[in-house]
Amino acid sequence: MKVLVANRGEIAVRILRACRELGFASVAVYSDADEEALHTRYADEAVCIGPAAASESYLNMQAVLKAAKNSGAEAIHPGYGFLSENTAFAQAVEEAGLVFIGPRPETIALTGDKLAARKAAREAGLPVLPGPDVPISEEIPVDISNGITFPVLIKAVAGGGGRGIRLARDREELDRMVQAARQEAQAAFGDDTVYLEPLVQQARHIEVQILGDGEGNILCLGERECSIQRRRQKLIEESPAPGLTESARQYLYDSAYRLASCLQYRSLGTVEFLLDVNGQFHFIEVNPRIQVEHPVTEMVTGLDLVSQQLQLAAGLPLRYAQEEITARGWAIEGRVLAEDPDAGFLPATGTVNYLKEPGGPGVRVDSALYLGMQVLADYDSLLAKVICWGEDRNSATQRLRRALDEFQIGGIPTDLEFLSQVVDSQNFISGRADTTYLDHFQFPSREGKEPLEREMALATAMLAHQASLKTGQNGQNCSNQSSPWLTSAWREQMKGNL
Amino acid sequence: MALYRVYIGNNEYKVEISDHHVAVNGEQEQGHLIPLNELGLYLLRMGSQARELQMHLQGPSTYEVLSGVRRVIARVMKDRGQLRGLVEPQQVGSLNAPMPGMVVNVLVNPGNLVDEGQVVIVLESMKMQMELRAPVSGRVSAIHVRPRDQVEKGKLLVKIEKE
Repeated sequence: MKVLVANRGEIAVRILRACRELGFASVAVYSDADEEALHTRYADEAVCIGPAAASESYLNMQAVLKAAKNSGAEAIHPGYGFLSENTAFAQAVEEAGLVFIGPRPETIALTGDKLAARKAAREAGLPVLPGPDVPISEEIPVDISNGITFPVLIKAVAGGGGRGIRLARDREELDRMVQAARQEAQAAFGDDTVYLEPLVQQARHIEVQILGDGEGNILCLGERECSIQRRRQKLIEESPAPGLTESARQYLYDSAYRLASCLQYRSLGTVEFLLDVNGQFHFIEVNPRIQVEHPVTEMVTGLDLVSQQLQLAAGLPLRYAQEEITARGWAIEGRVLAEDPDAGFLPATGTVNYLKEPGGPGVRVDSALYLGMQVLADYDSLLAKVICWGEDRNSATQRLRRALDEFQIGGIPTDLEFLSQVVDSQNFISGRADTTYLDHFQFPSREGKEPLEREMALATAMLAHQASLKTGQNGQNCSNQSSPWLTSAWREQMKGNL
Repeated sequence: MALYRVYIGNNEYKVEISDHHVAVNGEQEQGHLIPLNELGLYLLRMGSQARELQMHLQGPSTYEVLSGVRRVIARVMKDRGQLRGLVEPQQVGSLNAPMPGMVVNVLVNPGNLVDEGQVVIVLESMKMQMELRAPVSGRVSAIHVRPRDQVEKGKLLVKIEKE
């Protein structure tokens, strides 16, 4: 099978790796900005599909389909984001006689319409949050507060990826927040329809990984805890979820299984739930695609999810029965993002001028990083994922802490230090952190001039001093800088005199 | 002897370097800085302890320093000389782009009165929308961008004159 990967960054590389292992030929697509990107170079072939702006390249259905046709690809893997949840695209792929590596178009349509998904989940017997399954009309009725308890979430019907969601604490805020949600939804999904859903306070986000063959056979591959989020974007994920009783876990799996069965689910998907403080689960949505955090499931189950997905798409049967699926140990993932911690974690851009990825036992890095890579504002800020396996939660966490310490990226600010602060924090360690945890995260104080910073200052001054000696600004005789003798003399001086 | 002032965040360190010793904020140190390669990798040896550091000249008198999960920007000034390359103080009443991105919406017109904290511009970058607010109350005297414009970090977007 020849597979075109309609994505970029770490997930494109992840899928291309699986293709290579299975002996499938691969085609990458890239924008002008990604001509030198890792995924472009990794694939057997690469086709340019347009300019840097995603709307004109990675989101351009016609360009992707044309690339598939011209390269003779038989299947398209959409990855996550971009066209992965676009019904029209999935349809167009199948109409072109190609295999869409993901759920059937009608499943994507259903899960993409959050209200339809709620209805389907309710019918399958899942616990669904109360609220009318209808969108808010253009003019918000004055009496809307009837039957609504505040705080309430305003969510885009076409939503996903945490976008198009706003919180209204009271009636007064409602109009403004509906407006803001509509605007973001319009920009993100081209559809400004929104609906209301009660806010579950102090909720944990727990999701179940499913894999189906499209003929009614469903595997449930365990759960993931993704409560550590910022701006509704997941930051740290783990499997299994800490502190769940066996009966709660079984209930969760049964629920996900029932919904997936009703949908005759094909390929990979995730059924997402909130867990409230009373131990009740509430269905929120289905993500009909591979997810960023899929590696934690891979590490505890030992399965290669993308490989399974590709083999199903190639017409092979499911390789495993549910009884053969067991989880062993614990896995945790941290998302390394190009963000400036000194500027409120705003996305940052730059050129990678130094790179050292972590290694050692139980550590996996999924990234598309390379030395010299330019991080652009055109795409999202995910640079890499560090995933660590351990025998239990504590050893997995300690291993992640160690791996983060080893991971160094120069040239762009990242959230590496922040990730390690979160992993070190008491609430995270206890396993009870909810989705609002990072909103009021207490940064550990650096207690003024701590030793590391002091050493960094010392080293900087010594380096600046050397630089000034070398360029002779200090009146030293260093005119013949290129002489190897002087270089070694400089080294000796660094060792001996300073 | 040479005296350097190093600024990391809000902290200032005074480092004295002579042929025979180094001192940080008056405390003597046994410090040796050993370059491990030509690519910015250094070992700072202090007595029996050693710390690996990655250091890069980033701009005039400005170094990026990495160690463990820590990444800092250190600005170094010799003696009382001028610190070059420092960010110029922002003009009062000017709203600059805090990140590169695309202008989604401009919510004010020239001549409008705005309150401090009022949303003036919506900017999108890396699939995140951000509401930019007026830094001061006053009258909008100039708008330098239009919706769909791509802007660089630091670009002047809107100027507001205090009334």
